[in-house]
Amino acid sequence: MNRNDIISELKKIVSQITRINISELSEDILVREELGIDSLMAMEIVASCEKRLGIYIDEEQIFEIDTIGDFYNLIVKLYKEKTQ
Amino acid sequence: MQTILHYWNGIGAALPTISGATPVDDELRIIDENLEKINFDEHSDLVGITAITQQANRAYEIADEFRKRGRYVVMGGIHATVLPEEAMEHVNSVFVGEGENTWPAFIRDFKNGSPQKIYRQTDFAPVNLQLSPIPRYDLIERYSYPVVWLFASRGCPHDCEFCAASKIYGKKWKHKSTVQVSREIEEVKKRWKFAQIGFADDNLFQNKSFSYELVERFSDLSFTWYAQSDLSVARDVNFLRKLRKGGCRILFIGFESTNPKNLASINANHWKATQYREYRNSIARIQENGIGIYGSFIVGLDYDDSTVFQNTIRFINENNLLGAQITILTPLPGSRLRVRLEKENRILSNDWQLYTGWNALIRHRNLSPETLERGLLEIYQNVYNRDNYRKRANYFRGICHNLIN
Repeated sequence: MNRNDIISELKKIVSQITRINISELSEDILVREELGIDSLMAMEIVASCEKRLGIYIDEEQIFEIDTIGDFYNLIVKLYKEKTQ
Repeated sequence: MQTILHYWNGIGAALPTISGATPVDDELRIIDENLEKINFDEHSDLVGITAITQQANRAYEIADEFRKRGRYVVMGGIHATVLPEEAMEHVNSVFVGEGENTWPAFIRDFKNGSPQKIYRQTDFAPVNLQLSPIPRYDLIERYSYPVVWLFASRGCPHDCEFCAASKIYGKKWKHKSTVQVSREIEEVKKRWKFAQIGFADDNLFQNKSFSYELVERFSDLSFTWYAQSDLSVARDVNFLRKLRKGGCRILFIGFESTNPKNLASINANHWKATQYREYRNSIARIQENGIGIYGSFIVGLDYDDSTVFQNTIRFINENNLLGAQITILTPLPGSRLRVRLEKENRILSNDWQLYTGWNALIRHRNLSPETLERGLLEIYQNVYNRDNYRKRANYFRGICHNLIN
């Protein structure tokens, strides 16, 4: 999967869990303050990414995320590390 | 901690609902003072204020400012309902109880030039929530709320000593139709694309057929939501699965205490005490179905001693509660607790702005006010520190993995 494929998959995951339209998920949206992602939703997203992409996400890395774009970048990086 | 701040950072349904009960040709404006400064010189024929007890002092300041400018000022809401005589010292008319019947009656009287000093719901026919108007969310859509609060029902049968809800709404539970609630949700989602929906009902799932109908309907709407409930939801695993499918993500549940002696004294029907043995299993069953629990706890109940703080911390952490809200026992006006503590001469302050749940306002047999306030902070610091957060996060990660499989 290239970066676009991964981001497309991530948008589906986030949209499914937050129940927000994919078209609304622009990369500058703040995940906590705007999307209202709490720790349970965050873990649902983490678990879905781990299962669909075969990666492991340390929850410490989730603390550092501010925007949806930060989240996409983290997952793309972890996926590339796994596949290299 | 961020979630609990998020959770309570919204607006109640009272003013939008009352606006919905106002004739459509009257021009209305709702101001949320948390988000917008009030212009006291703005023209208006009538000013209406609602306040809970901790907001009462400010509500009276606002009322006084408007009355200085010759405005007709009215007040409703929980505080005015339980202390109408006090409110009347600051406003022209006071509303006691639910407003769906009293408000239209007042508007008619006001337009005829004969408003009364007090409008009591008990002087009218009982409010039929199925006729309650759609709240006027258009009047608050300029505010970026993270959570918008709705209500589908009113009333709670448990009549906890510290709570005034049973006095205000009665012990008899009543509800809107599921069609009404769905329409309200659609109105909210049209206006706030990211907002989550919180149900402010004291106890939403009291009727099995209504609960099932509600969550079935929610499954067709795309939104996530929070609600307050008692622990009885844990008895029906099928319902828990439907709750999650319907978008429920957090249940706010009052555990109140980890000391069964305290629980036995809270309700006349001993409801809380009878649930105590089921606390752990019920929590696990709800959370294993992908619904996080925010537990509510009170410190300073009669049988508490210095162990209450560590016991509460242990309970929250051992049960992996998604979050917790802890308050110091507060003698809210309208509650049976206040009546009892007044008789026992144990209330330390009637300064309403201190009635937040963070301040020790009672004389406790075993715990000084300083100990209560320090202990409260100790619980928050422990429960929300990073290590415990990580532990809970991993617990929920495991649950989410199971739910995906």
